[in-house]
Amino acid sequence: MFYTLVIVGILYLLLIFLAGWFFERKLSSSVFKPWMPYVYALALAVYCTAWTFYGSIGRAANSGLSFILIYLGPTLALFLWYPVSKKLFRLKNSQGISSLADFLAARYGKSQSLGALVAMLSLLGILPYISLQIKAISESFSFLAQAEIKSSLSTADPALYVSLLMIVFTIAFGTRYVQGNRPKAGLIGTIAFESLFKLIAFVVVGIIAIKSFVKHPQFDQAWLNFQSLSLDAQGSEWMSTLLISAFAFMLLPRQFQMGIVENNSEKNIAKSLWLFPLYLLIINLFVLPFAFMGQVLSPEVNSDFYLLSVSKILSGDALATLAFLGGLSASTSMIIVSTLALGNMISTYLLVPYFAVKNKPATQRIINLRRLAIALIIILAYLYYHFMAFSNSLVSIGLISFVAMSQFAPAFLGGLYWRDAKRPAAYWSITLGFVIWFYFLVMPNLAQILDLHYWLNSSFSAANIAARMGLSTFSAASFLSLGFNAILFVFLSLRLDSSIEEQNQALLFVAADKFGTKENSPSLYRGTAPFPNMKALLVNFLGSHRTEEVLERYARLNNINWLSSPLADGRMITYAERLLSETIGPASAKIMIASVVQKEELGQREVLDILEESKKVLLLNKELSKRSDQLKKATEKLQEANDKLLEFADLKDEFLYTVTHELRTPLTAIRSQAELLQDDPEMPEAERQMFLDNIVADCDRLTRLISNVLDLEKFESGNQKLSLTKVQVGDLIRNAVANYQAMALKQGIDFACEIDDSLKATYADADRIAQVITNLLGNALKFAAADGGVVRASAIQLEDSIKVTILDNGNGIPAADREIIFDKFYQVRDQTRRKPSGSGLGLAICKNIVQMHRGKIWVESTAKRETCLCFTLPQYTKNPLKS
Amino acid sequence: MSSKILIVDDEINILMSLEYLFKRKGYEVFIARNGSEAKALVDSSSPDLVLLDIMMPDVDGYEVCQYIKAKENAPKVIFLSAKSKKSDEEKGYEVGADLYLHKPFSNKDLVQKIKELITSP
Repeated sequence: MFYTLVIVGILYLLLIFLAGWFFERKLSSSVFKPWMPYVYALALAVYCTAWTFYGSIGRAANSGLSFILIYLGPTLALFLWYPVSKKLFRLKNSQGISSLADFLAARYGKSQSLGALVAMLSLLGILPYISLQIKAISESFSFLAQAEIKSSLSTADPALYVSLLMIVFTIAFGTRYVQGNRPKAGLIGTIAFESLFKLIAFVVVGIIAIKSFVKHPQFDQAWLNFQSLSLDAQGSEWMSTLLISAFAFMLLPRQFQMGIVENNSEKNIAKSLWLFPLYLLIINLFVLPFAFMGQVLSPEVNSDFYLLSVSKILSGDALATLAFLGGLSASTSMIIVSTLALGNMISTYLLVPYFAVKNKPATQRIINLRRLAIALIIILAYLYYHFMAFSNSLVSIGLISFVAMSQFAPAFLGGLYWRDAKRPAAYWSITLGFVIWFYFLVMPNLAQILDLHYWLNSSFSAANIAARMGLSTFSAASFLSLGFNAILFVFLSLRLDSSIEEQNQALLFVAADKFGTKENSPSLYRGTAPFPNMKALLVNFLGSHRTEEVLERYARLNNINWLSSPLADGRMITYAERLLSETIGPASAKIMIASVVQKEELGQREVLDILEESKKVLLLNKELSKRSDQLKKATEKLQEANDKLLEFADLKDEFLYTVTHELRTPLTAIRSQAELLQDDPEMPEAERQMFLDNIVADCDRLTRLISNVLDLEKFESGNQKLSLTKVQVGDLIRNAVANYQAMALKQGIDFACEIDDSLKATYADADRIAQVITNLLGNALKFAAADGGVVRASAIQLEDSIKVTILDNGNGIPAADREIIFDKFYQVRDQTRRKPSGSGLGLAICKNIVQMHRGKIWVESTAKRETCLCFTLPQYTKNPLKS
Repeated sequence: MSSKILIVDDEINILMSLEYLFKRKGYEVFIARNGSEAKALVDSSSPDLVLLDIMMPDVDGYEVCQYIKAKENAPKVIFLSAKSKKSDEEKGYEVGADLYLHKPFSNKDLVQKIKELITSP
């Protein structure tokens, strides 16, 4: 049996080395891509250690169902863990975070001291837990091999060799890259493989054992015991165990390592939410059966080893060996991941700042320090296992570590969700929590070892304080440490101020899910650094090959040419700091960056401004589209105006066309008649006289037309000015009537004017108004009935205007034409009304004149067949142009 | 037998001038002051040639021309118009005119063109 175990154990360890080698090469290929969420969920199952194989069964045998709380806690914690892990995943990338110590240090102002505290306390809390795994390997081996391991540091102890192999494995697959937060395929794959192996081993051993136990004579006894299974644990015990295991699931170094640091995609998280609880359920299915089988089959054995004893009794050495291998895989995976995580923290905060940063190049030295830390931790754990007597059961030692890790919970959750959380608050509350933890959970063991009976019996010993509270020591330790820790944390955070840098980090962390990751994360640096210095710094810590790679990538993404921009700007500095942080942690990275950058402090106001920038860009876009809409509207208006102009130009063309037509007509007559006179010297005198008269009349018509066109042009272009004087409109009418009297008499027209006596003087352009009156009277006389024609001109005083009416008894104007008679050449367009003697512009000119006086001109409809043209002039008592 | 010319224009001075001109040249001359008069005279006096203005009260020159050209043995038609656009002239030929002359014209030109039109077969 001894040699069987040795050989099988060696084979298994060889297998995990092979697995590591295989996954390192293959896991990142696209074949495995769809499997990554499953690999991730399995890797999370590093939570299940040797404790699950041995301790849980022991606890179930001693205190019933309460062992399940340790698995129920993480299941419940998944609800919180989902948003937390998503946020952490982003921060891991944007801040270059490789461990819990990095996270807390970065969040609280890139603090070296806080990181160092977290690293040391983690080591203190986890070291016994690692030695517990070594102990489990050693004891399970000696239990099955029936070999008594007498000497502490015996070379016969297989655990020693396992520990040494673990050092080799962790170094080989955990320290491949100088950047600590880079997922390591060989590591993840191997841990997932070990999780799968231990699950299968447990289930296979369980099924085979139960199958043979059913026929066993002791079965009835075990069944009876099972039925009397009690749930007598205290509520407070349940509460504290649930709470502590929930926190532990998030904060244990190995969980942080697998859940955050080694995660390569945010998408993996969702599937783990149901895969991980499923795993816990399956692996716990056989815990109770083994507890009860062990109680009846091997009551003389330490209950922690019921799995081995029962499987050996029921199915012989082969099954027991499989159970041993399952335990071995659980132990080794825990040792590997915990050691790696602790090694990162210890080297980053306790070794690198003192032994690496001043070296050039530092890359290899950083990796070596990490390797040194890993080796030291496992050696320490091994020594701890040999020199410290474990008086507690496996589960108890595990729970003590859980409580220790839970002390980071207030600072951790506060850092993620509370902007006011402050560094000293985190520092002192963690310290206080650990002091209480130490007092309640470590001191009793130490006191026993050191024979401190005085303390153990005093009323302020841990056990006595817990008893006075009516709690177990464990529950009292959990509640008191976490309670005081949280209270101090909140109290100090509210009372203290923080540095600007810390405030900035708080902003970035609390709002982590609102900003991008990696290259597009917001830059909170202002100031510049000479590019060569920056590059030299990166080369020192990243190596020249990787430095070239990242700089080239950064330049490509940001369209920068390093040759032409010799200064690294704020964004570049932020990027460089992240790169350094991945390698040497945020605190050292900050110091290194500060050595090359003349940094200007950003006030919180400015930081908020920078963060607002992205929002502003959005707003700017909105504003732009608004502007573009406005522009579009303006364009439409312009188009409209242009259309009007074109229309206007068309009108102008038409006007010109009409004018030339009107000019050509009398010209034609003049030319033709002049030619007749010229060619025909024998023309009779009467004809000669008639043609000469006609030519003179046509010349008059031409002149009139030309002056009317010019008049109209003046009005329409706005060049016509009125010269206002005090005018008696009545007098203007009387004059005009007098001028036409002879003509009217000749045509036999009844022609008179009626002027209102109360007519007041107003300010008007006398000549222009006379022109309007003359024009209207001329039309009236022209259109008055040929037989018994009547024309009347009248003026009456209205409230604030003078109304002039010119009336004739001609054919009248059709209602449809009453507006358009004031258009230019109206008579031309309406061919039935063409009167050769007019220019066709008279009424258009009248309308312009009246409108310039702010008056109105219109055709008034009357009942009879007559034409009634009216216009008004406003009554001005003062010259309106001279204000 | 002398040729018959119908002159249509609403401008009395042009009408009088052309009437005198063609009477002296030995034509038999009819005059009309608008479109409907012109149509009636074309029917009653069957002229050999019509001198036609376009812009007239009631029926315009184009319509008169179409009316004339629809007849058998239609007389020749010369438009005399102050409408100076190319499109006016094209429209004139479209409705069947034999010639489109622009106002103002020269008497001698007009007489020459008419001689060519009426003596040609």
